[in-house]
Amino acid sequence: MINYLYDGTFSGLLSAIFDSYDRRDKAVSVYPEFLYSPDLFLDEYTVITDEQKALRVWKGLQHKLSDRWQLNMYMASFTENREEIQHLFDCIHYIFDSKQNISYNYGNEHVISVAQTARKVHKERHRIVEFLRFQHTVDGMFFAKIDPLYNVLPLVRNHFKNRYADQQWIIYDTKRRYGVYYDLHEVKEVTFNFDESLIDKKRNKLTENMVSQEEELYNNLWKDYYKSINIAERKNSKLQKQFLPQRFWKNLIEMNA
Amino acid sequence: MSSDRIREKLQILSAAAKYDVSCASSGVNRKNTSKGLGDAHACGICHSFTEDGRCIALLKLLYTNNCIYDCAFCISRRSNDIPRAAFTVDEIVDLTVNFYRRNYIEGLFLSSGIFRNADYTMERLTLIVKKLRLEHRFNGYIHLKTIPGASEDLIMEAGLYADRMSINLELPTEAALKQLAPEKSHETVKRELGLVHNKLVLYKDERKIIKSTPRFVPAGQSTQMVIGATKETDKDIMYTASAYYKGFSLKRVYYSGYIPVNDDSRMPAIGSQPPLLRENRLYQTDWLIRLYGFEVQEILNDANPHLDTDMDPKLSWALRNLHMFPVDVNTAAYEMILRVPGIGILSAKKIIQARRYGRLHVQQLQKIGISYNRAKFFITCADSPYALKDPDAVYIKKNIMDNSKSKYLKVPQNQLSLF
Repeated sequence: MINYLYDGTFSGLLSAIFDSYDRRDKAVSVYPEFLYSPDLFLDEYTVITDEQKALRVWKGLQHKLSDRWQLNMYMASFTENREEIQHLFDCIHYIFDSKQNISYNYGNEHVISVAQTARKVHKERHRIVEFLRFQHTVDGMFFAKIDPLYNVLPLVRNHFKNRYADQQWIIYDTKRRYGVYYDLHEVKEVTFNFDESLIDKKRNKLTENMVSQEEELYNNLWKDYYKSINIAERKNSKLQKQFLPQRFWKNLIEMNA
Repeated sequence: MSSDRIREKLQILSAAAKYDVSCASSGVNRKNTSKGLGDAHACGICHSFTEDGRCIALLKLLYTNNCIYDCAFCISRRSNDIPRAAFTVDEIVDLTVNFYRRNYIEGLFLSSGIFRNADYTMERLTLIVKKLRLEHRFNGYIHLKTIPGASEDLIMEAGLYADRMSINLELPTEAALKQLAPEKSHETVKRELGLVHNKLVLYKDERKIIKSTPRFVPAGQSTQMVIGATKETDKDIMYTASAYYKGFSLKRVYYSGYIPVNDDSRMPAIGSQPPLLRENRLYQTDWLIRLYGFEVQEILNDANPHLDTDMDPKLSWALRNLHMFPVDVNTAAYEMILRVPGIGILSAKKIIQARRYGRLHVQQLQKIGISYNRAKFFITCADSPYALKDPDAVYIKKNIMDNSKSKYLKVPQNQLSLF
């Protein structure tokens, strides 16, 4: 047994695959840096992320995988769960070690795990697409903040770019402290420390002097709409929470009357 | 516009629109090619969920709740003394664009009471959609109601800008409609569904040859009927639905459990519970017909005119047809695996793919995600326990019921009776 330590990126994980073949290590446990606590009894090896190596591994995978499964692999790599990362690592080994195309072998525990992890990440991405909210600021910008379970910003930026092509917007991940900014031409990654004083803590949105004049009207109209479109006789809070998990409520004005 | 007045209008005209069930924003890929506002996703996106557990994908509005009709089941009927309002074209355009920019909605669902006459109303609705598409370069989703009795020209024009169009059957049978809404008829609905359907097919064919052919109602048509207001059987309802699915290639039929809004001795009294369980069973049947390859006659027929309340229609069907089970998941056809209670579409597909690599065992099936406690009575796999004799339907039903928690067990019994 040996522990591999990598930087937590997809390139890092692919580099780890490369190194494990290179070093002929069997029974490897992979750990992203953010989940690692040293184990005195086991050997440890630190993977140095190497884009060249990662690309070679990825090209090798592309030869063996359908488009659908390449996407599954990429999506699954966003997980922050140790066991799911291990399954992904083992699944890639399993794919390289088999002669036939085994990516649809859902009877294999690694394959089914990667498929399920990819689905989870995809679901979180979809929820951000659903429940992200922009506020219109005094300088004409549309601002949104999110705190997703996984680092899904790279997965949603194109969606918002295609959709809001004629307005400037920023989406900021408060958990990971970076954002993406669209300037009407392209989307750029921006790193800044968000000034907490710009947020009205009680209502969890931008302070009044930060938002445009009509923002309050549309906020109110939206809350009105949310109330009047509900059918009281059909009340089913359990179903509501199943579709709209409570962790998203704080960013939704309609949920905070 | 004054902000108080627009808020008041929105409250009146969205509350009046809430009984229209459809909130689908799916079925069309409208790309934002002009650097305008918005695009539409094939799979649809919900943006919020109300307390009743229903999704909000679209801004659902009536253009006006003034109506010349007097349908007994409708809150906006002309003989009701309620606050009336009408939007202007610009107000609806403005609300849609501003909600959309904030990621509140996927688009607009626009319906209306019939104001003055059908053509006048249809013309207003068309103006709104046209303005959104042409002046605001809006590519979000638009669901437009076809106004019964509107002229062919107007409907054809509207279809060039809407993604989906729909017109409601209102009640499952012509007889019931004649009784409660004598001014309406299924014949009108058929005429207009037919108009749109024919044009839609024509344009689709032409687009295959001439790329520049405009899109016409690319997300197809749907309809809705109120259930539980009149005394049809589940069989009546589903046979009607099935005929419309076949006749007009509808994308969806919606079933709306009747919520009493008017005092009328012919219908359930105000305050009685909406038939939610029945509605749920009808939707399950609808799914089985559209996606699981069932024929409506297999589920509902003269011997079984009503769906069971205590179990879903797929399980009922399986228990009535035990001679077709057990199914060997390692050899059976996809269509048959799909019919096993406890196995859904995704799992069935995975089983078909996975079994090429070796015979599947119980543990693998569980990981794939089937509901094994339900499916185990209907399948065999590589390590199925050997059964001494074939279990009977009563035994299987009891076993499944005892081991599953139905979401309806806590529902008070009075909700199960329909009248």
